[in-house]
Amino acid sequence: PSGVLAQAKRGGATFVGVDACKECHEDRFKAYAASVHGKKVVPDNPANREGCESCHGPGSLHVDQGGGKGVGGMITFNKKENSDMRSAVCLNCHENSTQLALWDSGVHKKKDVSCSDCHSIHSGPKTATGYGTGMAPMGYLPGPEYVTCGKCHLDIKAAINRRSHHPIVEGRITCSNCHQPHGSMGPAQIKADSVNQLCYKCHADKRGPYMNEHPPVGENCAYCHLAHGGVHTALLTEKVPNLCQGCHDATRHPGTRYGADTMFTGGLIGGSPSNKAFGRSCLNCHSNIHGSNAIGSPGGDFFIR
Amino acid sequence: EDNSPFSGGIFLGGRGINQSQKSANFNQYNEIAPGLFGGGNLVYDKDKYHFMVDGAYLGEDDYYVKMKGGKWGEYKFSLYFTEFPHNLSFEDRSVFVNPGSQVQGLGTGATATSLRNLSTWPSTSFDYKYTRKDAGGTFDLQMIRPFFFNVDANQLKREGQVPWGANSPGSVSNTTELAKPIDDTTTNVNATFGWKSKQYYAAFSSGYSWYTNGAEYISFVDPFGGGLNRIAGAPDNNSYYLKFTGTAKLPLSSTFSFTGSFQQNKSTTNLSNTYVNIPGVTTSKPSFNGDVEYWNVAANLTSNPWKNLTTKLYFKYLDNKNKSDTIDYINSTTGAFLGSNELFDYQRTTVGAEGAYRFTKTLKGILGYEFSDLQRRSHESELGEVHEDPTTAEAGIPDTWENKWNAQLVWNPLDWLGTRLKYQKLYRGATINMSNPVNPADPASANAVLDNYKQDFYAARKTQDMIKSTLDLTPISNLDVTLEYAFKHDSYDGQTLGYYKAQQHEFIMDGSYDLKGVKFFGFFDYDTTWTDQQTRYVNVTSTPPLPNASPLAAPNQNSFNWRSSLQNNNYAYGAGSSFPIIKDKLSFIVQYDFQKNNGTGDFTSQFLSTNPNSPIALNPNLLNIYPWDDYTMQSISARLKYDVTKQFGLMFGYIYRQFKYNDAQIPAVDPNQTSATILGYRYVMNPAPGTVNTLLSGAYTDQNYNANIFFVRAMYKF
Repeated sequence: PSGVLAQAKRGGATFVGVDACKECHEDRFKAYAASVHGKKVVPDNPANREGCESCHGPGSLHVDQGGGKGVGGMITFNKKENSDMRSAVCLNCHENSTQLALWDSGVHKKKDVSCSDCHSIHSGPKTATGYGTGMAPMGYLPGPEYVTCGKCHLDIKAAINRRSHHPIVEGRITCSNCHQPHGSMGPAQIKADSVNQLCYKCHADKRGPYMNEHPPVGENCAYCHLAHGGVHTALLTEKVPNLCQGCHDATRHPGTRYGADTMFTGGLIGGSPSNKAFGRSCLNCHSNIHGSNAIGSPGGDFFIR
Repeated sequence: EDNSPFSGGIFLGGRGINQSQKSANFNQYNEIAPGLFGGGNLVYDKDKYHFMVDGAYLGEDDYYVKMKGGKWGEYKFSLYFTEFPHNLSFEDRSVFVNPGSQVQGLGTGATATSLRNLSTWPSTSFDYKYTRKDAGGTFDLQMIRPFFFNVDANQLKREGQVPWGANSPGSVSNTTELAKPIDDTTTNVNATFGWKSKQYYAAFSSGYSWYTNGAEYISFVDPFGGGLNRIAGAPDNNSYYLKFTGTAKLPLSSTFSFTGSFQQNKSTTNLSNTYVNIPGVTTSKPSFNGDVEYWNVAANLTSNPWKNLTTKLYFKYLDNKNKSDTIDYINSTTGAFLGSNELFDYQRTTVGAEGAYRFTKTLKGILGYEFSDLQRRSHESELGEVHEDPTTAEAGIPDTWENKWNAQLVWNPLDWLGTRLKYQKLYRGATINMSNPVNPADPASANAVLDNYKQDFYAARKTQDMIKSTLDLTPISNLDVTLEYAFKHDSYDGQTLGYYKAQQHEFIMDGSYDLKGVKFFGFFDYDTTWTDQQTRYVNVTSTPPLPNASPLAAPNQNSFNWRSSLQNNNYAYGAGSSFPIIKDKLSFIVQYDFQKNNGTGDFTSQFLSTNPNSPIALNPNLLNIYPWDDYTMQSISARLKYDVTKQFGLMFGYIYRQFKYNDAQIPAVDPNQTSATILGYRYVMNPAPGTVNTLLSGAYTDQNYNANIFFVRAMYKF
């Protein structure tokens, strides 16, 4: 048994076997038996060791004292239990998993998140299906990934439901397409060394390399775009033209006052709004804002070709 | 039956939709349509072998088929085929007769003047949308432990069209919105080979990706008389990387992790294809070879030197080297240098330390510090080099460095109460390299003067405060409530022009309650942000008084400061319940969600005029923008689930969805719009009577909708 289980045995508890567990916890046992953990053909599985007690600890004291949650020193995987201890139970078998190679470096371990906070091995469906959503629960998660992650990341849960968002709630992409929840050396546990290198995996058209570069674009997509969702079109951090004016002020139109009087209603300047601000605003002309290979000035250098 | 290795289910349903108007927004990433739908899954699970396939909506634009399987402990694989649309805007119109094609022409006899009359526009109604078809798979070989090997590959194909602004070569003030075709393919292959034990981990990864664009160049006839012109899209490109990642368990419960990687992105573009109608200009090279390299190194050491203390030291380095070609533009007659492209490199170095101490079983504190340095360099061809010292950052893209502290407290004093509190302080410094002293009243120097007073927001001096606090409550059994408050304040230090302040507050509540099988859940979010920016208007081409570009100078009609305070108030709430009507037979779930965003642009101008050239007094309220990405979104869903038998079940559902959008830039189209009475969205813009400078296509004007969806679904499980 692992160090954790050995510790549990210090109270004098001994293993009682799965039949004893089944007597009171039949539903739980059935789910376990149907899962990969219950397969005897898999070496080192709980089924080839102490069954339920491989994870929950020896149960003799629990049985002797008449059962009950946590009674007899059982490990219940309740959030009140020490997170390192709960994770240690799982790592006892899964430490060799390549998925967990960077667990020690990750933010989840630092913040006391343990395996059982996300994975629910007793509810892992044997016949997982999304029934039309494409979001069949994987990895013994109790539901779609964004629901599991959203339990703690409430701000992200709010963001992915705003009007402009990546198709996460639609089930087209998942949190783990971009993030490695088990630890990563990239920022925000992303599956790349930098933000742009991650985004280019799906948005290879933005990869260039372009002859005319827009400096912030090549540096970090997140300067202008939100990763999860927001209220402005194209997940922009601010509305255009104001976003562009965060950097650009010059004698031509970037410095022009885009108030309601002159730019939008057009009622005060001859009946028509300005094409610098109406519609898609700056993007009415500067469409190639992520970079351009067109020659000419003004042309590719101003991202209008 | 329980011992059968096969299990699964199929479902078949029908759907009816009543929708107020066709809207891309209703189906942004879906293809929800009236008619039949279906899908199912099949699972095989016996001894060591397992296989599962799950799929739905075959033959539709949002179908998926996902398979996975393998032999426990030895190998596993997955395959998937998915497709989904990205619907942007429906029922748009174009001045071109063949929107979405690679060569777009005007109708016979069309002129910029005649185009004002919408009745002469081609009657073509088209949709801005594209589909993403992704096919791929993975294979993971585990039987060679302690070695491992995995490979994945996928191909993503996009087809469709998006709105694109095509500036006129005849006059930079004229522009036309056209449907730019999307027809590209990205293919990725990645493989990792490594070794893993409890003590050590080493993995070598490599990947290759190539992107081909079937619609790289778009030609269009300029409606404003500029002849045939061309847009250069994303170039064909390829990318490969090599990466090593390793970890080692060390004494003091320490783990050392290291990763080093190299990535190179390359593209080639024949420059003669990228533009037409630039008489008299040649380039120093016939083609542009793009070449950007990323060098990444990161290392960290996590330790548990004594019982209650864990520490982490880390280092990261990213070097982005741009080795692309520099291209000179040459006057083909005189040989004079006209300009060149400008390329950018940057290097970011980050070091940090964290310590977490568990004071008691229920109290943990974390302290962290991080320093990062970001150096930016630009380079042009020798002819174009304008910086005397190439090692010095130019104005506008300074080097920056950040000092970031954070403190966190995790306290779970009671069985039913947990708290988390985080505070973070960031100071960002920047090497603002002012250009040479210039006369602010000299119109020729105006841009240089403006540069002296503005910092790009992403590279500006900044002080940032962030607070995040969370309360987890379980006051009674089966009632879970989480309350969260987050605050962020950015102050752009020393900023005169550009963003100078931004602030955000967010309050969230999330809860669920299970009363003997009757479940209630609810969510509330209020997010308010505002950003303040200042800009100086400088008109250098007008008649006196002379403009003064300095924002510190007194205003006049040709030069003045104006400020905008942009505010967004977004709140959302939702509530629902699921409960059994007849236990294990009949259950009901109902949910209501609401979200509203209210944006404003509050303007303050030093100089009020309807037209900067005509200093007429103006009520400041006329400057403020009220509908600024305003929207209301709500939905009701109700589902009745009837399990006729353990295998067979029915579901009856109703969903109501509504979206209302109100925005100054993209107002709704007035169906009665004619050239004489223009209200709402403008397809044609005329800066002065008798002139046209802009032809738009209606992109994103179709956002409002009300939809009622009814569906019934039968499901059989085996």
